[in-house]
Amino acid sequence: MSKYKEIQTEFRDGAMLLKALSDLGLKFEAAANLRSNETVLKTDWASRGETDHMAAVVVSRATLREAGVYSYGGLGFAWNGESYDLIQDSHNEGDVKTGELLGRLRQRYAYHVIQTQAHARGLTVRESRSVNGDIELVLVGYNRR
Amino acid sequence: MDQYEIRVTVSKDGKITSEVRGVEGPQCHELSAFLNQLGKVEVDLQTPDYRKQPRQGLIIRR
Repeated sequence: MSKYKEIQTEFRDGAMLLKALSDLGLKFEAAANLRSNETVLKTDWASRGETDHMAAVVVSRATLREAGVYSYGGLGFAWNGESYDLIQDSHNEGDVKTGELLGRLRQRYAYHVIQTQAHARGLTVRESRSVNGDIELVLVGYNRR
Repeated sequence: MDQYEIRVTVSKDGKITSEVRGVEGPQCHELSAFLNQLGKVEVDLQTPDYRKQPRQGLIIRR
């Protein structure tokens, strides 16, 4: 072994984010330009003076509830110039089910980015899944003597 | 040809760990650099093999 890394996944590629949302069966609305925050994340907070938010990708509250997550205002992914900021109601920030969903979303996102980049570099990929839900990938390359 | 591997684990909360195996010397840095685009690199360690003189010639596609 010569190099070891630990990386915390961040959403930086809009197309891969949409793939990950689709993997989880989550319907979404997305701006035509995934780096443009042109989609409205509707909130229930207008009566309290809160406004709707703009994002590049939006998952509605109804969709989240269908997925078993009680969400106060849906999820938004807003492009900040480098990555996507997550927009959610503060009541959901500590919610276990929301956290689990976001974890699975990050996992699927990372999976798609790694697969795409590995194939672009001519690496073959072997994959397996551990009993605790981790995805194990072995990217194989060859060097000439 | 010599085979090398990049072993990547993606946990169920989206955290990534990776190891490069079968490569000696600093070339492993370039092999795994593409993983950095996944997010915030929190740990980046060189292991003893990193300091060995590389004996192989690698094909690296950009």
